[in-house]
Amino acid sequence: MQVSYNLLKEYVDIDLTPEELAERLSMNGIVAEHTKPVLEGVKGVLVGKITSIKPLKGGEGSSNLSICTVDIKNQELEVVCGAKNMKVGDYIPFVTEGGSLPAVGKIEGKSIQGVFSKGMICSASELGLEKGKSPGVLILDHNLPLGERMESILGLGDDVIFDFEIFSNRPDLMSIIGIAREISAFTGKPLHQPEIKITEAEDRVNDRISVEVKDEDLCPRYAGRIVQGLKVEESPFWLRWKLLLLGIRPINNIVDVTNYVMMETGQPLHAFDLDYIHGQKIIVRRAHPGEIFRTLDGVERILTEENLVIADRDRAIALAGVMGGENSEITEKTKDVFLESAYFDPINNRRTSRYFALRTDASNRFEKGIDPDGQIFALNRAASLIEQLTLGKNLAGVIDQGSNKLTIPKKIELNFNKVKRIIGTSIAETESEAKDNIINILKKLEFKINYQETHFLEVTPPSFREDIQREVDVIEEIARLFGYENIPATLFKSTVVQKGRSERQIIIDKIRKVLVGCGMHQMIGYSMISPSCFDWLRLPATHYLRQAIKLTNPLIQEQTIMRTTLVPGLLKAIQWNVNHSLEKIKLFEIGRVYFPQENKPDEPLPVEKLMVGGAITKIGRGDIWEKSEQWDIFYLKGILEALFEELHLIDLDYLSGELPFFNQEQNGIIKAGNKKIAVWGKVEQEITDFLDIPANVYLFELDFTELYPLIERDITFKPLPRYPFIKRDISIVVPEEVAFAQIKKETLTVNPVLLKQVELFDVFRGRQIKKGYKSIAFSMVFQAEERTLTDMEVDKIVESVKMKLYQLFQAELRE
Amino acid sequence: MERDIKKLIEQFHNQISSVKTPEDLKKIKSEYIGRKGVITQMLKNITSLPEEDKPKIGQLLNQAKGEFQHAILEKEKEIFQEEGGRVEQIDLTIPGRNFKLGTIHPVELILKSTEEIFLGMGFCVVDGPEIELDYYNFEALNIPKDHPARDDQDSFYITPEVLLRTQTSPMQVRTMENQSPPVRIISTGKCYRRDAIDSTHSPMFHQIEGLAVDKDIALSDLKGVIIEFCQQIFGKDRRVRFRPGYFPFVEPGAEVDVSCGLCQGKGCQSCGYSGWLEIMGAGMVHPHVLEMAGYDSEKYTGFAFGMGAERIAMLKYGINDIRLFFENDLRFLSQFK
Ligand SMILES: [Zn+2]
Repeated sequence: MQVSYNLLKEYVDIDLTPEELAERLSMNGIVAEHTKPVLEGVKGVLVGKITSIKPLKGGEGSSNLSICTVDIKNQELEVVCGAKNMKVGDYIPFVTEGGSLPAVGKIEGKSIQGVFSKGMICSASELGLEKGKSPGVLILDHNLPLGERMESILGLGDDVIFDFEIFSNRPDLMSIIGIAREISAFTGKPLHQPEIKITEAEDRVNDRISVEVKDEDLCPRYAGRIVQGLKVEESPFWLRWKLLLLGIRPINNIVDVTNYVMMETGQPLHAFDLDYIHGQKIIVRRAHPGEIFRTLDGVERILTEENLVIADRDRAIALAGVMGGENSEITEKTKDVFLESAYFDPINNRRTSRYFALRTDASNRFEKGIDPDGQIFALNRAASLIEQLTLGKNLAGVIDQGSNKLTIPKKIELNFNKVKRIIGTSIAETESEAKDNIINILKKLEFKINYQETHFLEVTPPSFREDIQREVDVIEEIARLFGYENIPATLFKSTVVQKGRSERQIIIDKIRKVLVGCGMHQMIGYSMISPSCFDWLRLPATHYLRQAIKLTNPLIQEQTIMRTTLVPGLLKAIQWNVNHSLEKIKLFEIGRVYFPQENKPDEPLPVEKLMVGGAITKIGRGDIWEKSEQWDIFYLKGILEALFEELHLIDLDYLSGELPFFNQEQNGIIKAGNKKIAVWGKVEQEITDFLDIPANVYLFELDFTELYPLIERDITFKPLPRYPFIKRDISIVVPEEVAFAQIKKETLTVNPVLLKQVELFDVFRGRQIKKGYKSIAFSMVFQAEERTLTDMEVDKIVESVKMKLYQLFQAELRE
Repeated sequence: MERDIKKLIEQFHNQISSVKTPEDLKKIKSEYIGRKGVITQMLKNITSLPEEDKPKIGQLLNQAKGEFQHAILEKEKEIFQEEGGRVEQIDLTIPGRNFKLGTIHPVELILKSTEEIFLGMGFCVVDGPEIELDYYNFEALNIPKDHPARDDQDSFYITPEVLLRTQTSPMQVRTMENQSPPVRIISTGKCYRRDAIDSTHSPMFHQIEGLAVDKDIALSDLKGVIIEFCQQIFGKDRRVRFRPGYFPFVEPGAEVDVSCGLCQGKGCQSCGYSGWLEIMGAGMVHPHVLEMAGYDSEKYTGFAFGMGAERIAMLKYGINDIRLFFENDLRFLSQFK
């Protein structure tokens, strides 16, 4: 809601500066999003008078330009002007050479088609008073002092424009009077309502038109007046200027009056050309399905039964509360108008304006709920203004349909104790003082006190406060006027013992810390991805990861479905970093993936699973130490093992996997029993090539939901061994296909009591080793709980190990 | 024969004195005393000598071999020293074997530190679904279909009744449905709004939600708790301001500002010359919301608040573009140590 300081001052006495006013209003819940001087950026604009206009004959034929002579009191200057709306004798804003305009900048004299133009006649938009391009120059009032600088004219150039953010529950503040009323409530200064003076003609409105409301549920109140014998023309300067201050483009006197009164009172009005209302009849009805109607903006709209229209005998003439129709528009030829002031159902109005994506100043108010008792006041105010501006005559009487239904006053009981309970403080020293303060505040806000008792009151809020429905709403008003800043800050009176973080949250935090400890940086990827990710990840058409949830109304093509895996996000983040020349990239994400519900048809919400993903890649050689460090599949595995160790996850099986985005050889899954808890591997080169990543990427994704129940959080202390251990190294040659995990497992089973540890220290292939074989060297640690082991005992076990490995894997000893 | 040996020794010394590299040294070594070296050959051939010469020649050859071995060893040391094997000078300015740690995402840092602050005030942390029912996201929060407040929260829908949550506030209702008072919870997580991406808007962001319900909770408690939070997050010197605000699920409603840290509240470009930065919405839980969740609104009162984690992070760390949070650029991420 845009309004100016001076304009507000016409409706309420204000003794605050514009800055103070904005500050006070914001502390009362009305925030000025922008505050700017009315002629911000305007310098050297003088009031000028046009003394002659002649067409400019250009070099090549005729041009649309004219040469105007402008009188700026003590000199006359010649300028070239492109506008058409001015005539000799008009007063206009004239910017001289050296002056400046907000959108144009500094003005310099320049030669246009052979004529030297010494300045510029300004339009409203050039002065920064109107958005978009104004249709012509701004014609000023003849009473303004010639040659005076616009910005220093009192009441004009010293004004400040506020742009208030109005909460959607306060449509009453979408009006000058509404804001003035608030100012009056907290300053105690009197409010000035506009004067209404109507001289009615003898002819009666009811003889000229009848109104039938067919759908009262959608239009509980419909009021109207007729003004006849008027002349449609440009509004006087004062009205046009006020509209500019309100951010509204002046059109003609009739439309300007309806717009101004809407801005003034919050009640949208509409004016119809009476001659185009067929059959002297207004019918408020639901549209016929498929009914076609052309709105004022020239768009043909196909209506449904959900839309309410204002119709005459034959056809729709307005989309109720949203926009009028071309067929009954006010034109220069209009002589008689029918003025409409109605209350339309907010929900239906909102549906219609959303359905046609047609938001207007009128619908913006109707949909939030206007004052149900404000129709007649606004109607009479507009009728009075039109009479004053056009010499038109108001017919006798007012049409007012359904007037009784909306004005049933609400009765709300307010308990003083509740006020204290909600706010947390008594708003005065004593109880009776508090009561007086409350009554005083409510009266300032125009609440009616129906009756009062020691501990409570019954109040009726003013009709324009539709938002006040129950006791707490009244309490908020009291808190607001008392001032939130005056409410003390307290801490809970009672203590509560809560469990704090859940086990699950603690584990997630631990995972995060371990991965950070492994040098990985936490990333956050978008939950919405594009299905094309699945294509470059080479997933077959039926792959389970493709079963993603779709957004019905995505915003952009790259984000149309919910991710089922963290992999594309990780790879995209690697790609981003590679593109920005980063060479050592280690990222992880802890985030959700989403799958449609499969097994529970009654559960309306999809499945959300928490996943932990990580990816690493290294480009280039790194620093002095790192150049020898390879970031390969075992580097990644090291991170995973560190994590599993920290989570006390033991007995995991590392098996080969089949995910199509991993390289065939380096494609793993990790299982705990029969539960698949992770996938890991080297990203297929075709994919890294596609993403322009010039190095191998290794990646893992853990399923936290599967992992979580397996995690042992308790730490159980094991006593330190009291006897020394014995360590033996052994080196064997086995066929390639024998995995170390098998060797380790079989070795440990030879003597589970004494053989405590098997640690790999070398894998070797070379000239001395037969083709298809490899040499594996590992150490064994032996230890007994209750005694010192002898070499002999250990030698025997080592022999058994050798024997067993030979039998199982044809393992041969290597010296 | 003796002369040959002497000559050989002389020749060896000549050659070895000019050796500079380990390769040359190796060559000489194999040439003289290697398996096929001259001395080795000569020692092998000793059997073919007349019996009386054998001991002498043998002795000479073994002497020469010993001499050569010694010379080669010495030369080896010499070369090693020249090749950088000199007494080692440790350059302590060489970078260490840096074990580089990773970093926690700045949004996560804010979520975690916020959780910590509220845990200290007796709150517990709860999680909720990101894909939510329209009922919990809007209707149970006093925002029925066709409510104008839905305009501010344009949503991504999965079905007409299921959407990506636009706020963490649904957790208020879910918690109250499952727990009787007293309640003190904090819930954080991803939220989604159908806003085009620019420097201050993102279709995905994180919110922090708080709720406390009990028999005696008042607006003044909200003020106390929020001031405590703001001063812990932003610093003790920051002032906190409460203004009336409108959110359909609270009444009275409030907006909370914290004084600008750049200008100390004097007004500067980053605070729009107001001296204040808006950081959250809050208020007393609307009795209708309590009732819909099954609470007795005459008996219980409560407060709720919600804020954007990215907004808090931007203000706390001076980040000027919300897109940075989701680009995951290491130059950005690695700053949050
Ligand atoms: Zn500032």
